This record gives sequence, structure tokens and C-alpha cells, in this order.
Amino acid sequence: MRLMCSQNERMAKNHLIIPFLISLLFSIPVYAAPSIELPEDELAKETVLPVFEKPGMVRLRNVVTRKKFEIGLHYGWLMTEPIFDTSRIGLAGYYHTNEDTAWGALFYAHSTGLSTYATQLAKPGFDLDFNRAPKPLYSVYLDYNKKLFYGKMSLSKITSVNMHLQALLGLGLTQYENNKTYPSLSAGAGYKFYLTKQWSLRTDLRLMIHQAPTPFKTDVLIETNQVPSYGVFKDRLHFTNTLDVGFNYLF
Amino acid sequence: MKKLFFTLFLFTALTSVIANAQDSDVEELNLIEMELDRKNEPVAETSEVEDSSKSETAPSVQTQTQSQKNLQEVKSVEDLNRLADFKQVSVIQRRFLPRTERIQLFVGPTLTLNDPWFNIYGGTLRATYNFKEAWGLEVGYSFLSTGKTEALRELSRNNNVQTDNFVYTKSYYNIDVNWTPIYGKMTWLDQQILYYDTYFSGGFGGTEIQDGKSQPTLHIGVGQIFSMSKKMAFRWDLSWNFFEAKQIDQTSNGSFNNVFLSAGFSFFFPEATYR
Repeated sequence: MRLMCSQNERMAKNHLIIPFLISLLFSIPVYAAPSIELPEDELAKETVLPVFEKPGMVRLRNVVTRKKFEIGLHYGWLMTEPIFDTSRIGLAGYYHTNEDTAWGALFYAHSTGLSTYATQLAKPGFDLDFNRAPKPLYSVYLDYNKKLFYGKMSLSKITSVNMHLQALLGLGLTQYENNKTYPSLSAGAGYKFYLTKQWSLRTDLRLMIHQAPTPFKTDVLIETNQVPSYGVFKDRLHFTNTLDVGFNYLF
Repeated sequence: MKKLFFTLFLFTALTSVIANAQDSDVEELNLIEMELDRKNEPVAETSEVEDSSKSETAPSVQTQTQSQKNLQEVKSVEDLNRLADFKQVSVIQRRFLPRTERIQLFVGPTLTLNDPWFNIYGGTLRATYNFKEAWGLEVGYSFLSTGKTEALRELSRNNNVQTDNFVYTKSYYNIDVNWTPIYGKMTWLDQQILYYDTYFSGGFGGTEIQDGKSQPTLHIGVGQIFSMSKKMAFRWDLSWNFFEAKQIDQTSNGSFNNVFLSAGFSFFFPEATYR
């Protein structure tokens, strides 16, 4: 009887041990697996539906510019203008021939004051009155935009904004106070951020190469001397960096 | 002319590098756009894709409404388990170039965009540590070389103005906080997809000016990082520095500002091995 009991106990033990060993065997790889942790803020929260049938449909852009017009109001900063006021206000009109190209016209009205450097040079010790030199008044440009990059960006995973990164090429004329008109060529790059499908914030950075009268002339700028005619100021080539910021409306 | 060539070089480098950065599928971006379009559409509207799938799956309007609702209500990763099996597939977008707890070393040429008297060029070195994906701490140093512009030479020659006291920057060091709230993708002429981050930075530093003195400087900046791989990226940066120094007449102090444009490459350490 005791023998039978001990055999039953042994069998019961075996029945317990075998499942234990099997479960242990299967649990080893589980515990051996590497723990992968991703920072929560690296995980975006978007979800998308798959498109299997018509991939062409999704090629439609969120902001379509083809065959549309655009108007804008810009503030321009002439970053390397040494003497005259560095501000100008511009009106822009564009026509988008397709999704990659836009042609436009720009009109700028220059502020007619002096820069902070010119104001300092007017102080006693220098006595240079740069108001005697011809200032820029108006500029018009024919502008070509090549929309190289079209993209979307997420702002802290809360909202998203469409954008264009484009190459810019402009050809224009600037009217000066001396009743002369000078040519200019500009090239640069710009971003356009679409706040809605119509409204966009535009920033352009350009290098402008332009002919213009130089305001630096011996003697004639000194306040006590006779006011010269504009003709004494010689023309030369200038290089000016410009930064424009403005709002555009697409329709 | 040097400035012209330098600027054109930077721009060319920008476009060529990011254009060749990655080969990917342009439709990925379009999918995201479509999803956003869907969010903006009224729920009852039936899209072209839904129409096309009707013959196979024939989802009811009620199911579509519920699906839209589920999609719109997804706020966190845990919410994804509410999506119905096989009817909706969720794709978790992860950042292509993770930065959390990684060091970024940036090196590249730099130039000043807004100095009318001097052409200032040089190089910049920066090291950034991101303790979170969106937040990082950066230290940087820019070493610069200076040449006179034609305007300064004319002012000196024609108007007999002593120009040795004109302020220009010889070097600059800074410590910044970097905030990267914006990330996205863009296509290059519908051919390639580029992943990028847009960051803003702000901090303090010192500007060494022409007389050798170091002026306390406030710095703000903006820039973008275009991923080329998980350990390398093209980066451009526009920095605006503000400091005080003696004006031309040397009797009073005035505020000066420098706008620096830098472009170069960033290297990330350690490598992101868990992708």
C-alpha cells in the first residue's frame, strides 16, 4: 500500500515536473528577448488608410497651384544697404503655369530715409549729409519661381502646414531720384508656408546685383558745401542681399 | 563677387545634397496628405478610394462613419487598438532621424548676410545634445575672416573717414537651447522624398569684435536638418546675433546685429540601432 502510494506520488511529481520544465523552456526565449523602448515623443500620432486600388488619386496635392493666380503684400529688407533706408514695401502678383513654375511681377516702394550708419556719419566730426545723394524710389521686377520642393510639416504633431521651397530669379528696374532707371538681377531661394489652401506666408532670400549711383563722393556731401547736382554721383555695380517676408493669397 | 560665388555655392550645395539624399516613395507623402484631407472632409462624403473598394469590401456608411470616428479619436498609441481588424490599417510614423539622447556635431561654412562694410566668411562648429526629441542644448563656435567692401573703401577714400573703428565680428561662441517643434517631408519635383526637421534656437554668447573685446551677445536662430541617413544630415542655419559696441564716432554705444547663414553637415552619435 505504501509502495503504491509512493509510486502515485512519484507519478504525480513527474506530472508536475514535466509541465514545469516545458513552461520553463518556452519562457526562456521570452525573458531573453531584448526589451525595445521607444521614446513616446518620437512616435507620431498620425494614422493613415492604405490605398491599394488607385495610387494616382493620392498624387493630388493638398495645395494645388496649377493655373492659379496669387497676389501678395511683402516687406523687404535690403540687408547690406549701407546708406539709405533698408526698408521697402512690395506688391506681388504671380501666375502659376503648373505645379513647378510660377511667373510674377513685383513692385516695391522704397523708404526714402537714411540708414543708422548714415545718421551716425552726419554727426559732428564727419558732417556727411547723404540726403544729397540720389535715393532709390521704386523698383519693378519680373520674377520666375521654380518650385523645387513641395512638402508637409507637422507642428508639434498638432497641426500640419504645406510648403514650397523654391528657387527665385528676378530681372528688374529701379528708379532713383536722379530720374535714372537702373537694371538689376536677383537670384535666391524662398519658402512659402501655406497657412490655409489660399493664404501663405512667404520668405525670400536673394542676392541682388544692380547698377546704381554710389553715394560716396568727395566734398559734395559736407553740409557746409554747396548742394551738388545728382549727376556728380557715379554709377557702379552693387551687391545687395535682400530678405522679403509677406503674405500671399492664392485664387 | 566673392559673396556672390559663396552664396551661390551654398545654395547649390543645399539643393544638390538634399536632392540626392534619399530614394524613397513619393506616395508616402501623398498618403499623409490624403489622410489630412479626409479629416477635413465631412464624414458623410465618400471618397474616390472608398468607391473603388466598394466592389470588394462594400463597407456600409455606418461602418465608414465609425471608421472615421475611430481615426479622428486616435490620440495615443493605446488608442490604436480600437481600430477594427482588417478594415483599417494604422501606420505609425516615426521620425526618420531620431535625436533623443544623441549628440549632433555640425560643421560648415558660414557668412554674414547683413554687414554693408565687410564681407565676413568663416566656419562654424556646433555640438548639440538632445535630451528629448524636441529639446536640446547646443554649444557653438564660429571663426571668421573679414574683407572690406567697396562701400567701405569708397567711404574711406572719397570721404576721408577713418574706418578702423567700424565694428565687425572676428569670432563668436554661444550656448543655446534648441527647440524642434516641426518635422516633415518634402518631395523634390515629385521624384524623391526628403525628411527634415525645423528647429528654433535661442541663447547667449560672446562676440569678439575688431578691437579684440568680447561683447555679450543675444542669439536667436532658425534652421532645418535634412536627413541623409540615420547618422548624417544636411543642415542650414540662419542665426541673428545682437550685441552692443561703440558706434562709428567712438563716443557712444549702439546696438549691432549680425545675420549668419551657415550650411553644412551634421553627424549623429551614437548610431540609432533600434530602427
